[in-house]
Amino acid sequence: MLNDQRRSQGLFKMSNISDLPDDLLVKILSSIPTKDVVATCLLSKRWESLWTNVTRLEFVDKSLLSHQCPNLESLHFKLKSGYACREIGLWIRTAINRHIRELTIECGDILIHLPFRLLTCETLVILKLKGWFDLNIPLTASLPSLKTLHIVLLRESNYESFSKLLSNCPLLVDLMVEQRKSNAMSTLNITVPSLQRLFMRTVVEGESDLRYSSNEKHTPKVEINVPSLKYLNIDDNCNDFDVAKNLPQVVEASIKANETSTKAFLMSLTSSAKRLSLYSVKSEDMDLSFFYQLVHLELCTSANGWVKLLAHMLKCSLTLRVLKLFNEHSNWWMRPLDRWDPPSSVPECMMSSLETLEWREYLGRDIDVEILSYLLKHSSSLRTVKISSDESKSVEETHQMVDDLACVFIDSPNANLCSTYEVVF
Amino acid sequence: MSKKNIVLKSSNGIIFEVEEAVALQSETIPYMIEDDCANDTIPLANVTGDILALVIEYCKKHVVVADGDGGGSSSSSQEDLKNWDAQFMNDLDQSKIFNLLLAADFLNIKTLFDLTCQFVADTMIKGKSVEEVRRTLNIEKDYTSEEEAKARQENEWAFK
Repeated sequence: MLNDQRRSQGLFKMSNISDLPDDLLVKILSSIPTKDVVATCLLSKRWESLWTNVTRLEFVDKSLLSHQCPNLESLHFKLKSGYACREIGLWIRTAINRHIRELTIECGDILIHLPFRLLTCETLVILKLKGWFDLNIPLTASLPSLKTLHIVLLRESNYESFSKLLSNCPLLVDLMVEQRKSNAMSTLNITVPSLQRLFMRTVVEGESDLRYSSNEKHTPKVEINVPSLKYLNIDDNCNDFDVAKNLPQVVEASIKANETSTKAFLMSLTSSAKRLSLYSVKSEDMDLSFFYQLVHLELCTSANGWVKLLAHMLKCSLTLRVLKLFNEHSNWWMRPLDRWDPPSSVPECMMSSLETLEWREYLGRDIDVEILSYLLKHSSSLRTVKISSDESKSVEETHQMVDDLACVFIDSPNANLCSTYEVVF
Repeated sequence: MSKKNIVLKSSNGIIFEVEEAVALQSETIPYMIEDDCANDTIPLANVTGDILALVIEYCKKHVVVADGDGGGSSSSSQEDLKNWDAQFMNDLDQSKIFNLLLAADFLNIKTLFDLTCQFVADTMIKGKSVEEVRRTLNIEKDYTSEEEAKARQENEWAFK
């Protein structure tokens, strides 16, 4: 295929793209969307089969079967509803035979059966399954080269085999698991010593499921044992999490879970944590002093206990630079409001490090006004303040909020020192 | 690194003298130096003078920026460099571009090679119809209509 003879000849006459050797043409084709790549087979006979040597393909139909290259780097399927899903088994087997390293399959709401062999593929490094997959995970499943796995779990019967699969992925670094509303009786176990990123989400159909699920007698369990973790993102109100080992390397954590689980996660973190985003936790009886190195904190203002937690965190985090408050619009009305007890003395971080204050979906409740004025009054190093309101407010309510805010700002000498102000109502 | 000059000679005998750091962006040239090709002058038997001049212009631009990296404003210089690259490619005609691609491949200058491939892909092929690509690239259609129909049928989905 290499056209070395042509290449070593003088290049005086080279003026047409067809004079380039095959490997260079293939290289050029490699950075073009697959559809355009395949279309080049119509250009001329010279081009007819060139494209079949391109190793990165996206959205492949029958074209894969005429593809020749023994090694297929990356394959990306996007399947529309009802589209050729019967053939996907054949495609995947072909991909496995071509030593596929990176496989992404996106499908809509069609249920797709994946071939058994996919989960024993030795060359696979990245596997992303987005959509509904009916996964039959064999107990012998093992992906020895896998580093990234994104997966949706639909069936409880998969939990045990999925837990087993994870323990057979010795290089796994990045795991994203999505569950459909879980009423599961069995425990999901995530034990991966090499894991650095964990993103776990449980999708519930409709708000009602979410509320009732916390009242159910049995709360499904997830056991987490990932001592090398650096990034944690949990968005899951259904499961109870059990954290088996401390997470001494986590630098960034976003935790949206029930109170018990949030607590379990918080207590497993250490002073390596730099960025934290929290939704709900009662902090009264917790020692959070190990968060002294925190630089970035986000809190949900509709969660239980956020007011106390804010006071607590301001005291502990000596070098906090960014504070973001946000609201989960859907359920703010459900929460009883706490009382704001400002710390007995102005926290260290407000005097020296706190530079950015952002408040999204500001509701303008009494407690919000109280806290905002405290923050503005006592933070002497603030440079940027951004406040945006909840869009559903009526005109009158907005006027009231603007008036309140004006009072707060007039009352805060430090606020004049800021370089950036943004108030969006 | 001490400032040492390297002498390159194009296929049509034009001599270029460049700083070592400029020439060493090519991963091929070090081997040629080691092999001690013809004393101090390195002959590049398949790169013509006009193309070699372009290669050197590119390498000079990129070596300067690599030096200034410690200055802290690396992001803006990266931006400048990108703009410079785009302008550089835009000023060339097709024949120069293809010859530059061959030279970058032969001299093994990865960034220039990638830049040229990407430019050809983006400006001459991507998003164009088959007829447009043929016209842009001067490709002669040597299919009979039956052969074309057959090729079209085999990969039907790509032509919708």
